This record gives sequence, C-alpha cells and structure tokens, in this order.
Amino acid sequence: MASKLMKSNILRSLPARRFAAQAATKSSDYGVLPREPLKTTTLPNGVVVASIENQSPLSRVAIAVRGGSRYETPENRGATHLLRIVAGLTNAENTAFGLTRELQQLGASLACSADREVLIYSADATRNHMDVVMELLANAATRQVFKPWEITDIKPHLKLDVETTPAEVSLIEDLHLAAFRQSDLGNSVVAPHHLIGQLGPDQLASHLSRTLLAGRTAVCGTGIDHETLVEYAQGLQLPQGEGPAPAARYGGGELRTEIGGGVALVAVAAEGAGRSAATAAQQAVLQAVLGAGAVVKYGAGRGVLGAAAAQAGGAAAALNAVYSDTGLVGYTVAAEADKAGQVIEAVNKAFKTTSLTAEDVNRGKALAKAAVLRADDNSGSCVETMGVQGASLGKVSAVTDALAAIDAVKLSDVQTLHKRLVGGKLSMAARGNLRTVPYLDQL
Amino acid sequence: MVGEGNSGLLSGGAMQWLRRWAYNASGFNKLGLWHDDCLYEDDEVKEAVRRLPERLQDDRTFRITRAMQLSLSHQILPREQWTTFDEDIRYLKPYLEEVRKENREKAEWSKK
Repeated sequence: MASKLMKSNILRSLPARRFAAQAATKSSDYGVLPREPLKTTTLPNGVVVASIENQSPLSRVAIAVRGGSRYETPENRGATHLLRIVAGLTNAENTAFGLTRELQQLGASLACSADREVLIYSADATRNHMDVVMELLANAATRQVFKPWEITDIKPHLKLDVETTPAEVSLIEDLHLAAFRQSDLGNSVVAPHHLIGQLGPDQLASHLSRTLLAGRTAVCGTGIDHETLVEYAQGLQLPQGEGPAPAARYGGGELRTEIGGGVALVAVAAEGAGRSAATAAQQAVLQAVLGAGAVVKYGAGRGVLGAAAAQAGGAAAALNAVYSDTGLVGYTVAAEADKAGQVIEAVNKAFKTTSLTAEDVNRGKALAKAAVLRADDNSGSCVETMGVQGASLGKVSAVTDALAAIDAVKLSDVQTLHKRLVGGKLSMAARGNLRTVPYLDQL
Repeated sequence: MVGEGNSGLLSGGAMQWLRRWAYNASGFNKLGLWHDDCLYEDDEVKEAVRRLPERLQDDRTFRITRAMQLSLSHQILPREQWTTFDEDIRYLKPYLEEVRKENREKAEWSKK
C-alpha cells in the first residue's frame, strides 16, 4: 500500500517541482576558463618546447629524447629497456630513496617510457607542487649517474620484465625484426635475453651520450604556462650534437616462433610511410577502414578485417606503426590453433582484395578523427604525442592540423595507397601453435 | 682525526711527521694491511665494501687473507713489503661517506 501511494502523481510531482525550481537559478557566476591552443617554441640550442594550457588542476611535463631502441648499437642493445627501469635511481642531485620519498610526499609520479624512436621521462603533479617536481624530473632525465651497485641490484627486475613479456608484444617485436632486419627499427624495445649480462652503467651511459642531445629533445607539458616551460627547458643542461640518424632499411621476411599452446598470433605488414609523409593521414584512414579494435567492449573486431576474421572464427585488427622515416601497415590476427589457417586466409583475402567505397572512407575518416581527438583529450597521451612529434620530427603540430589532413583524404588516395601496399613485399611474424598457419609465400 | 687538514696545534710539517710516526707505530703496515682494511666491519662498512669495484674488493680480500696467515704463523712481512704511509690510499672513504650520507637521509625522513 505504501508503494502504491508513492506511485501516485501528486506525491511525486511535489519534490520534482522543487528541484526543478532550484535548478532554474543561474549556474555560473564565474567565467569558465577555456582550454588554450597549442603553443610551441624552438630554443636556440634546438630543444622544442610545446605546451597546452588545459586549465586542469593536474600538470604534466615530459622530456622526450630521440633515443629509442632504434638508436642502440650492437654493443649497448637493450640499453633503453634498462634505462626505463633505472629511471628512478640515484642521480646527480637525489638519491633513489630521497627521490621516491619526495615524490610521494608531493603526491606526484615520475615515469619513463620508450618505444623504438623516443625515450620519454614524464612527471605529473598538482599545479602547486609542479615546480619542485619539474626539478626532480630534470635530474632524473638529464643528470643520471648510474651507480654500479644499484644497476646490479635491479638486474633481476630486468630479467623478470624480459621473461614476462606478453605474447602480443613479442609478436610485434618479431614483426619489426622480420621487416627491418637486425638493425635500427629491427631493434626490439625489450632487451634481448642473451644480452642482459652485458648491460651495465657503461652501456647506459654510452646510449645517452649518443642520443641525449639538445637537438633531439622536446619538452612538453599540459596544465602549465608556456613561459614557465620555456624557462625550464632553457635551464636543462643538454650537450650539443647531431647524434645517430635514422637508417631503417625495409627488407621483408618471416619469423615463426612455435611455442605450442592453444592460440596462434600472426602479424603481417608491408612498408608504410613515415610520420611527416603526405600519405600519413591516408594511412590512418585506411587503418580505420580496415578495422582497428572494437568499439564495444568485448565486441568482435570491426572494419573489413574484423568482420572477415569474426566470420572465420577469430579476431583481427589493422596495424599502422608509424616512425619518422618509415612505417609498417598491415594486420594482426589471433585465432585458436585449429582455425588459425582459415582465419588468416580470410583476413588476408580481405586485406588484399577489398574494394573500398566512399562510404568506407568516410567511416574511416570519422573513426580516425575520433581517435586523434580521443588521444588529445587525455592529458597523458596528449603529452606523449607532443613529445614523440617534437623529439622525432623537431616540430609539434596542433590537433586541428591533423584533423584537417584527415579531412583532405580522398577515396582515390586511399585506393592508390591500398593497391601499393598489397603489391609490396610483405613481412610476417607468427607466434604460438602454428601448425595450421600458412607461410608468407603461401599467402 | 687522522687524514684531516691542519690541526691548529702544530704546524703543517710537524703534523705530517707526527702522522707518519703514528702510522708506523700502529704496526698494521707490517702485515701488509692498509688503513681501510682494518676498519671494524659494522653495517655501514659492510655496505661500503659491497659497493667497491671488483678489483678493489679482491685486493682488500687478498691483503686481509695474507695478514691473517701471517698473524696465525706469528710472522710479519719483510721490511721491503711493508705498506708505506704514501701508498696507503683511503679507498673506502668515498663509498663509506656515501653510505653514511644515505643513512642520514633515511633517518631525517623517518623523523618527519
């Protein structure tokens, strides 16, 4: 009975009317600060500074260096992996203990990430603590000292990292090795297992002395004033120099790693264009058309390749790895061991013979633009993108430029690109239970 | 403290003479030991020794082992092999100072 009373209109309309009346008052008497556009400066010594004042209470600053695993030499292979691990150890100004406690006390965090091209040291904190945190970041990124005993003590951590590398990561590393062979972009971001023993302070120092140079560094931030960031970048002590140039040569090839199990993971790719090439936007659209991941959580892959794979009983996504001078465009497939052969045949057929329509390209453009905006919206990936652009290209473009480039993509461009890619020499990597997986020349 | 600069009591030359005399009188050099080999191994010294480069650790181990052998056989080295005041380097000092600085920092933080 009580519940029936609650359902009657009279009793419900009274509180509803009151809340509505309250909501009618003016909501903002203060102005809302708008997110400012990107600001960039290039310092005389070559450091690129970029910042976006996004009015967030959290500030993020990153120091990005063009010193990823592609710039390792045979003598210091694996140095970037170890550098990532030792980022928080003793440097010229702080002990490891002191740095950790100081960061914790301020509620800040410091991280180091790297890919093949770029090594990024980043820190975030609330605005009022950011000045101290930026000092700590500068020490960690530019004033390393590598105490031998600390490196030795942390080696087991490196070993654990290498041995627990997920299969998907290993697959992509294998693909790069197959495509670009044993140098430059073929260098894995994961330290080679057999070379862990040779890594020590000398190898780390040699990698940094070759790559940590002013002309190869970008300092980026969000939630920070541009002048403050410029002054900070000017205060960084970075030596001058050119450093190693990118020298990737696409060779193409195949790498199969049979480890048994119930799943087969396969990646196939052709050589793509670099980050600043005119076709970069077209590649992004093509990737979106072919299908990059699911929109709905736990949903089957979308796009041309995702649909073909789902029909055959597996999963597939398009791959678009972009570096400053070259890239890889293709697909990755995951399937049960028994069905892997059929799934790969289906996906490969879709990859090679799909005919793209205007509707496909429009869909691809919308997805690509959304992906760009999504990355820009998140301050973490925003800073990372600015860092990667600044360090690898020497300039940072605003999101609006990327959106304009995507808008300018035409159906004929994407079709030409697609034809060129499928006609080129392919590379393949396969990992898992490969008994039904075809070889590259059988595709 | 031995190893510091001028004393304030004696002039530079006199101070040096006194230091040399004290070094030779203490006798560990007759067993081929260096000053830092004789430090009592508390936790700080143990950590400092752990941080020594391998070569210095091996040299230290050799000298200590040789001294123990001499001691148990009630011998000393021939005079030419005694450690001289000038060749005795305080090799452990920088590492020990760093360990002590780190421990002080930890103590400071745990006070807060």
